[in-house]
Amino acid sequence: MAIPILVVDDEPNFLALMTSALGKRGFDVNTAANRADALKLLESELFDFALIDLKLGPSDGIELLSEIKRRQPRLLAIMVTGYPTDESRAEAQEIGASAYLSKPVGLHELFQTFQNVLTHR
Amino acid sequence: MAKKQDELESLRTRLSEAEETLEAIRSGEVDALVVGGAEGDQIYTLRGADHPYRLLLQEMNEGAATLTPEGTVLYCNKRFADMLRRSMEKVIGYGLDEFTDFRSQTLLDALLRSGRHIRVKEEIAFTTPEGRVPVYCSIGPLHLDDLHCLILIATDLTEQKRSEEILASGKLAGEILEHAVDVIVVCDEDGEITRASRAAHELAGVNVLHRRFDGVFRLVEKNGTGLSCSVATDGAVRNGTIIATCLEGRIIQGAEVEFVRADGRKFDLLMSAGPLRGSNDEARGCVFTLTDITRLKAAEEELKRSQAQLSAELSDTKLLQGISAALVQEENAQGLYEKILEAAVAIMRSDFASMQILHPEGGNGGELRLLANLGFSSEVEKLWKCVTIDSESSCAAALRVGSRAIITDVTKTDWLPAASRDAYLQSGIVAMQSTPLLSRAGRIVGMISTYWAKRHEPSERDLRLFDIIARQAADLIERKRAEEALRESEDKLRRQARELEQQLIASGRLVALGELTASMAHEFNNPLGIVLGFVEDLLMDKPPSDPEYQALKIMQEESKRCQKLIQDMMQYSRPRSMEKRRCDAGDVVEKSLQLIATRLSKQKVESVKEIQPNPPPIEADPRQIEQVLVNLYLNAIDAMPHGGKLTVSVASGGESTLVIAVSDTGNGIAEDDLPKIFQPFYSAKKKSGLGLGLPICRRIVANHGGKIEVESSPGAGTTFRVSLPVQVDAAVNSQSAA
Repeated sequence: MAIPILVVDDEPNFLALMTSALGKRGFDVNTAANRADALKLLESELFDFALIDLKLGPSDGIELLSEIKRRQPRLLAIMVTGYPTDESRAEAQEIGASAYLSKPVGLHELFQTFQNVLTHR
Repeated sequence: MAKKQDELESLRTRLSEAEETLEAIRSGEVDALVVGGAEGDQIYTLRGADHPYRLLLQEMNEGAATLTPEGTVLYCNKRFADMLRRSMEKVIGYGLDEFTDFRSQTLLDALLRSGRHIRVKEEIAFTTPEGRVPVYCSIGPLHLDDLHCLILIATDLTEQKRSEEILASGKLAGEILEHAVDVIVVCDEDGEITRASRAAHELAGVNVLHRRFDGVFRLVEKNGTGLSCSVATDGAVRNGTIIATCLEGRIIQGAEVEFVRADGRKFDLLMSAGPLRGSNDEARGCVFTLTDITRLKAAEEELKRSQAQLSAELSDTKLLQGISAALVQEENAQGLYEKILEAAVAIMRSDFASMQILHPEGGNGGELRLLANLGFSSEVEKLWKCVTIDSESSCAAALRVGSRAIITDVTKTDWLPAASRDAYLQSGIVAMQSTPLLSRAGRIVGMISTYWAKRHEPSERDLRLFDIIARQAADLIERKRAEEALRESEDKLRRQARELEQQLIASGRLVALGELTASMAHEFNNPLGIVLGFVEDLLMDKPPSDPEYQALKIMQEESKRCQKLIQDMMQYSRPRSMEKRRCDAGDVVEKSLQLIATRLSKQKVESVKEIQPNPPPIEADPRQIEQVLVNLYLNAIDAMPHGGKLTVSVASGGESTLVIAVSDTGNGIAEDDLPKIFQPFYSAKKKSGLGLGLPICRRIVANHGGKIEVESSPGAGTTFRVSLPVQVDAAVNSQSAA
């Protein structure tokens, strides 16, 4: 059975890449281009993973993270960002992010992260 | 008016009547004389009976005259007229008051008044055309019948006075002679010494009385002045002539003469001579005064000497003033040294001169370096460009003992080895002196020397003046030192400022670049990440045998290269924060080498580690240092396209630094390029790099408080040395361990 994952990013090609790469490797990939779409999906589906871009215009990825964690606390969230900072990393971890990755994220790195997160859950 | 003329006329008449009467009386024709007076005319007659009186008067040896009670001369004898130095005609009929001066007038009046009654006597002076004549007067009443007259008998006292004078002056002279300190000699007209002071006998060494003056005092004229009247051609003073001169009434004053006594002793005398006059004013002899001025002369000589010295000192002062003026005008340091040496040569009358500055750190305990010289040939100049303290020379000797060294003749100096002596002689130097230049604090700062081509011993005066020059030179050197120190620190500051400026310019470019990269790196990064993601995705599915596999692999590589460029740009414009901790340089090197292991084997580069056992720990961000090292390795590998050897060493670089050196055996870097390699955007790898690798390395190392240096020889390889500060307590430990 495929693992349900929510990928939120305003970059359609990134969503396409994730759909292709993760889909082939046993993930049930659901994508959202913004906060509203993501929240709508969260209402109807249960996810094991969420891959969230930290900079999610117009709203903030951190804000979305806290809403996701409030609704589905057991969900494992992985934050991805092009502008990694110590502050945002600390903030994300405090809210409950399981990992914090810098873009560009290689596929190998990403799969490794999933494994790490699962084993340390 | 008419009345006055009448009066005049009557007076004239009376005068002629009186004259006629007088003439008559004198000739004896008339025996009466009518004299007009306040009480009316009086008639005086000389009758026959009186004639014997007249004869008596005429024959008297004394002057005699008959007078009216008022003092008019009625008759006088020739002797009286002679006494008054007048003819009888100019006496008879004249009042006596006409022959006395004011001083004697009162006395005469009193005599005349008393003489009417009694005989009175008094000394009185008559005034004559030839001077005063002292006269002893006796005036008494003369009764001729009822006619009241006065009779005057006058004795000329001139002769008596003269003898009194002579008596008195003789006594005075005796006194003077007795007590005189000076030599006083009196001789008579013939030159025989009649009187002499005690000092005269002492000077002559014999009793000089009754000897001839020129026989005793042989005087030799000294300087030709004052004795013009008496200088003989042989220079001797003819004393006879002096006496003759004096007898003529002339005076010789203050003539310097030399007197050689019979025993050979010489005296300098000041001679004055003059006539000795009798009371008739005639020169009767000669008076000499001789003053012994031998001591005075000595004092004068001394004075002359000190004057000469003074004038020498004055000329010295002028010389020094001239030098100071010349020095003040000279602004250039080298010019100043040369001017000082010119002055030194002038003062010391030397042939050469040199000035050296002491470098205490040079040589074995200091060396003197030539600042300037005067007269050296270029060979000599080269020979003495630098003199160490242990060398055999006057300046080194002066440096050793800390005071002036003088060699008056190198050929006669035993301490100078033959080689040094010959070196001096070949340079044309026989004598020399070296004087240390002392700072105001008393330290030796240099040396100033003068050299002579002939044997020479500098005089005390020359050395004294020279010391003044040396003082100037020392001050100059001190100033030069201070200036140099100032210039050095100024240069350092300027260099730092220039570096800072360049950094600022670079960072200015980098700020712009940073802004660009911050916005653009992302724009590149994300799409690139997606491309790379798809490539990886595709590659995972395809076996290497797949015909598209190779194409995908190339896409992946090129994308990764783009990613690396972007990362570099981001790193340089916005460096990652540093996380320093205590780490071991050996571990860092080990790990960094692992990172490039595959590249090394691929490029056929052998790596060699030379790590000092237990290197002191460093306080660093190991990841950043790894980054630096990897960067250096990659550059090294690039420099060895056909393989080679990469040597990484870790060694202590002094007390507080650790040096990690990365050497390759590659192409090396052109000398011109060396200064540029740390500048941003300078790249030797025209195609593949942005030229930020080494600037990033330098920034990281600088942030760690260290430095990175490069050494390269084209064709032989390049070595980068990264010096990092050792952890403070570790430095102490390693020090105590050592």
